[in-house]
Amino acid sequence: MSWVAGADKFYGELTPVADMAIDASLTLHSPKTLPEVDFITEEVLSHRLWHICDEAGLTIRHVSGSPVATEANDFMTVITDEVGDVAFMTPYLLYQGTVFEPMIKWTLQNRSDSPGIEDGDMFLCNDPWVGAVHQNDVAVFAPIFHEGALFCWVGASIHEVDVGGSAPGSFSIHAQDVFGEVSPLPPVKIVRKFELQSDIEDLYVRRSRQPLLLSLDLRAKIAANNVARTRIIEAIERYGADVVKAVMKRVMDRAETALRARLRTIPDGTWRHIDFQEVAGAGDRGLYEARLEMTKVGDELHFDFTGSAAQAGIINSGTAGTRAGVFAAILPMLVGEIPWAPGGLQRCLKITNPRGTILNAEYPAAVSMGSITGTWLAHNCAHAVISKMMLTSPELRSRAMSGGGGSWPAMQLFGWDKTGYAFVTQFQEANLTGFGARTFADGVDTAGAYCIPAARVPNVEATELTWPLLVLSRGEAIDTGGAGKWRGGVGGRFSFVLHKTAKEFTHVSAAFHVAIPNGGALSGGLPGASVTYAIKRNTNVWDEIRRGIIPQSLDSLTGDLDILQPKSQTTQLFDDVYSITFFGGGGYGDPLERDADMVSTDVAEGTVSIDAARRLYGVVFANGRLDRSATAELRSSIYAARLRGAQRRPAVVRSGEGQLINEYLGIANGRVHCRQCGQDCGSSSGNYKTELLSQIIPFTDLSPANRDPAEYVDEPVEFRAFICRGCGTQVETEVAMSREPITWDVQLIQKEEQPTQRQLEKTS
Amino acid sequence: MGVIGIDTGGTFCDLVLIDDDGRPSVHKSPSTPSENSEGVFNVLDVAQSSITEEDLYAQITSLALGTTIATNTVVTHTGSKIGLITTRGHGDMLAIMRVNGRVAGRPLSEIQNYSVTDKPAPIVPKALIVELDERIDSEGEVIIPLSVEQVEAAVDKLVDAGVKAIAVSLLWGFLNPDHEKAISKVIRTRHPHIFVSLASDLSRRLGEYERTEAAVVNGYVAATVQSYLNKVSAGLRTRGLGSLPYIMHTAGGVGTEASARNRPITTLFSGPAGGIVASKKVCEAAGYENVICADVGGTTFDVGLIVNGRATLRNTTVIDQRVMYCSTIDVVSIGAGGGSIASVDPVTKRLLVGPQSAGSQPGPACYGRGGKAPTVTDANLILGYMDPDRFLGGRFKLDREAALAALRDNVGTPLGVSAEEAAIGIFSIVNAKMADLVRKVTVERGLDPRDFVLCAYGGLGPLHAPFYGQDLNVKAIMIPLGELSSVFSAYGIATADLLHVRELSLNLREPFAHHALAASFSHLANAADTELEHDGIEKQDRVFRRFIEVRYVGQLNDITVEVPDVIDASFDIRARFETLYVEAFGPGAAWETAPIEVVGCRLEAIGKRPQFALAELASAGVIEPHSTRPVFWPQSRGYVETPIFDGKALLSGAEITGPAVVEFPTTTIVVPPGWSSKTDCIGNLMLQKTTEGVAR
Repeated sequence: MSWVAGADKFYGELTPVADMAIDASLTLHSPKTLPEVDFITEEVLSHRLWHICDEAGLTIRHVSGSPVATEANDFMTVITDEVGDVAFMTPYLLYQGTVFEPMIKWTLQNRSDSPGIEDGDMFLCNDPWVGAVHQNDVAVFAPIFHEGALFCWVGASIHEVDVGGSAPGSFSIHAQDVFGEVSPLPPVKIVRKFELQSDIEDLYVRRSRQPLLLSLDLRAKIAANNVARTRIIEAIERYGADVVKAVMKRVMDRAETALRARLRTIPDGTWRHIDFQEVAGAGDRGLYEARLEMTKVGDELHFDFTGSAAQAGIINSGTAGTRAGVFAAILPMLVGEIPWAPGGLQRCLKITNPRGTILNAEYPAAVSMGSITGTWLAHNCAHAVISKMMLTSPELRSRAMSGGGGSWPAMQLFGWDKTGYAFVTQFQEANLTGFGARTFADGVDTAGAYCIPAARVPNVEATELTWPLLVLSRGEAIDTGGAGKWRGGVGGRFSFVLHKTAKEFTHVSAAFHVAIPNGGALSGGLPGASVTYAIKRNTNVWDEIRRGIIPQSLDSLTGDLDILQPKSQTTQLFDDVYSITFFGGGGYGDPLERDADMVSTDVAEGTVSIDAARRLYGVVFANGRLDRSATAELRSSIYAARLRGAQRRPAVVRSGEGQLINEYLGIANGRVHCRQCGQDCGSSSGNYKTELLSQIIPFTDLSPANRDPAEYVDEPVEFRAFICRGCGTQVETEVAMSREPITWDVQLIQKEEQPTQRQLEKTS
Repeated sequence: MGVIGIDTGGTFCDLVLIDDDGRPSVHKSPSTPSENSEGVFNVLDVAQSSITEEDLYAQITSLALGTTIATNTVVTHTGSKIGLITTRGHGDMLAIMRVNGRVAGRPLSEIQNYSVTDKPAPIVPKALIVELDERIDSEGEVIIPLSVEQVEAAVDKLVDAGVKAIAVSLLWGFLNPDHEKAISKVIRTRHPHIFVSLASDLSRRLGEYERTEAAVVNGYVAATVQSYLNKVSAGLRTRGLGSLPYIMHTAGGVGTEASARNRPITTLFSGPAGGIVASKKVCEAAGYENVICADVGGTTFDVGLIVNGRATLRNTTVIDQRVMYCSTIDVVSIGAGGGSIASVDPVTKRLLVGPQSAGSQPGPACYGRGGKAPTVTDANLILGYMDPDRFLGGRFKLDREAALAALRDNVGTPLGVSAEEAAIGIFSIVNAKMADLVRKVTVERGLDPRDFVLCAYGGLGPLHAPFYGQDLNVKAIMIPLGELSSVFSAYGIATADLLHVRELSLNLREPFAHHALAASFSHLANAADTELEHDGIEKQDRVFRRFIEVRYVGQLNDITVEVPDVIDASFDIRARFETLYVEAFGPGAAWETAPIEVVGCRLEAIGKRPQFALAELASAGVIEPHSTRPVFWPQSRGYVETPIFDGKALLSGAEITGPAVVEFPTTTIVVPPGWSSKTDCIGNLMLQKTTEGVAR
């Protein structure tokens, strides 16, 4: 319970329509019976409504002044029905889509009486308890009326770089609670009867270090909503309100039907994943876990976050953010080409997320970094369980992907530009993240964050034109992609110095998985590299430049290396070099199974070093050329070393393929077995991983870009590899707190077995 | 005397021959994908055989051709081995592709599905990318000078590795090209046989990735394009053509054969550009300034715009997910054409049309080449819009039964409707998609389709236009030049002027120094003038148009503002910008207090080719249909016995009242109930609604 009396009002709930307290003066357009719509009109009109939503998005890209929106696509537009169920959303920043539902439902219940919800109104909201992901994601949503009844809503949201608060970029790493960061705005009427309210606008932009940009982006969102409104009204005039509404509902119904059908192809069971955030604020050395247990029975999914860490420092999100993280995982992985209509999809989902944790913080916890803390953490967990689940389905396994960027490595920069004004920016280079490997191909190198389907980084020239800095290098970082039969995509690297400015830079860094790599590599793959923020101080960089050399690594410079903490604020002076390495994606499958010629290509392309090729892949190069016989020899010696002293058990006699667990494990006759060699791995009703050989591998051995977690956190953490006792294949991996037992990742309900009582309760 | 335009397409080579009187004739022969130049000569042979009395080549005053050779080379990854020289620390930009290379140009269905997305295989492996210790900053100042020894070592290393071309693209090279030029000199001196592709020669725009990609693709396709041009030019010379051919450019003009050799990248996507040029020409003659140009082909629906008499250009083009600077006529495509496949989602029972296409092999079910999937063409046939016995002049019989079976089995049965109802569904949905794309292309640019004439061409363009066009409430629908609409790109290529587009990135803020702008333009104009002189264009035939790119400080999207030949303080940049901005984004969108900046200037240098008037048709009396057949009309909600006219018999002033179908060997024009068609004096069919039609 919140210790602030009166805080309860602001918890947005997904209240069923029947239970909503809506003022009698507001009529919703919800006909008792909707007309039958023929299949042609339905397809034609649903295509049109999608285009309207897309057009609103294009309007934002045209009008917004924020590179975060126009370059990095960190924005969203939606169309919802009369009660806020999202029927259409655009493929931009996924977190900002589903949050409109709680915001609109809250507005219906708390604003219909006073100040009223009327034609020509728009509401602005960035309150994470009401529904926003965090204060920087500012949503503006507008009711659309037809003949006096509220017909539907349209909404637009943009991530604003600075909305105020104690730190540049509004990520307040020193905050103790929300009072140490910018105060959230619950839904306020920013446009009244088609008139922008200048007093409300000033109230909103006055707090920011960039009021002009907020004003411009506010106009972009209003313009987007206006475009959508006009076009929806045209559609109503053409087809009739009831037909348009019927199609909106049908779009949601069909998305639900399609997802249910897809879920039925998957065996019933429970999948688990634990992921961590380190460092709850400046100076902290703690580790905070999210626990997700997802159960699938029939055509329903239940996500249960019970047991996650208590809210702490600045690493919290509200429950709307956590739900957004779950959706961000589901949409591009499981839902895919099925229309993205969360209002329908959500009927197959249930989310249990108790209050008081980092994933559902009580007011007034600090939440300004919600999108890149709790929400992202929930996304990581949901991505992992969904991918693990899809590996058990022959139809869906090709959709699975190992974990990608473990977080958004925020690089907030505050300084003075060439015109003499202060600027705040957030480097979009954070998108230089590798994608996780797939079941049939490598992860894409420098592919972007999972929550942005079409991410983009600016040109270096655009960065240098706008801000007074000189980029020494921006490239792909060797050995950052997690090793595997299929390699994870490599991440990037980025370094720069100040150039032609009179004042120093202030950096605010905020990320997790800096201390520990992101788990979630599938089928025995290794995790991608974690992020390292560094500044080398008092270097000879300018001497080198004067000598005609552009330094490419911090090692080549004199000076004092300062590895930045995951939540930190620091200055960069004129002789200091800022350097960051970004996340690689996780690998898929045992690295020893990777085709040696592909490793050879990796070495030629600079994605894998000769040293890593030998250590991780067992691939040997002599004089820069692949040595096949030495490779075969090394690989068999590594297998032998893995199996040294192992107790073998008899091989199972398989009857057919059996049920898949992942690339290497299957279940037949109630027993888990290795699909490579037939080795028995124990009963399928227990945690098969405890029956496998296990090895603990230091994180620094996985990638030279990783550092020892003890540099950042006190809690002992380890990387565990699980190996088949029969053939020595590495079949599973996990990242875990050393004191924690081995995670039971995949617990399938065998057809002949009955679901357990707990599994039944969860889906009821 | 005659002017020829040839468009090499995926299935056919189209040729348009325009005689002295401006009378065009249409010729077609199948494309020859493996030996691209052969298709050109095949179609010329077809044209020759049609004019029996004389030697075709002796008559040709000018021949222009559009080629897909560069596009195919990139898509099939069959270009030359190429190296890249760039700035230390930035060689990986080609691999990074601004991250967006994973999805650039891909359809939504893929963008929504992470596991199917990937970056394209590299054109330049990292081993052939050499970084130099040189640096220029954002003000053009040299921070680290170029080391000639380092350049020589880099160049020799690449040549030793066997490259045939070297792309040179340095950070800020567009602002200060000295280093790039010096490197180019070293290469040319030491290795004169190597093709040098200099980024600053191709684009002077901010954005190192798009410049570098342009330089790389340009070098990658150079050898293939040159060898193609060798074959074509030599073959034409042997056959007696007195001049070199002009080559169609993606910016919507032609260039000399020599400029295509030096800048082969400009030959990408020239087919769609040809259609826009032709639309512009015909609509100018007919007095229309605002035109939606819409091409329905076998696999795609392409839409471009002419606004205030000017085709809209964009700075970038995308091929194989590579985004590069290359001034391109702005054409947007979706996968909706005759070959688009219809299917029913087994779970949700949605009827889906496209983007998958049956292509030309196996093609629509009615082609009888083994295609089992129902397509838009199959639906068109069943609805009576096409005559199975008269397709391509009767040379190619369509199989009505196969179309019916495909529709019934794959759409009708799963939806519980008849094959005809399935056809109606497919037809309506594909038309709706076309309407939505046209809407998107117009409103996205702040334009209202109601202010436009829709110019509909391509083999199936005239058939679908009155259906998707009525949703848009366009002023009128024009089927340009009757049958010529089916080979419209070739017509555009035949008639296009020479064009050089030159651009420069700027960074000017208020108050604007007009003299600085004027200086930039005169720099560009002088260079372009020399090029036109080289091209052999007389002084009086050289025309220059000047544009600046303006935006609010902080925004990334700019608005193109045309400026007068002489730019001075009397030209109010801000006022003009704000007017256009409000036109684009609506009243209230302008932001009076925000500063604006000029970020670029562009010069279009046009060299006029010999002009000819469009031939006038003789006036017609009453035209009679040659037969009737049942045709489905959504307006009538059923099949109606409909008169069929022979398009060849249409003369100036001929009026047809719908419902009617007008057939040409290569295309079909439909006039729905409640519509009428009038043929104007140059042979355009103008379709207009006469009553409010009732349609879905």
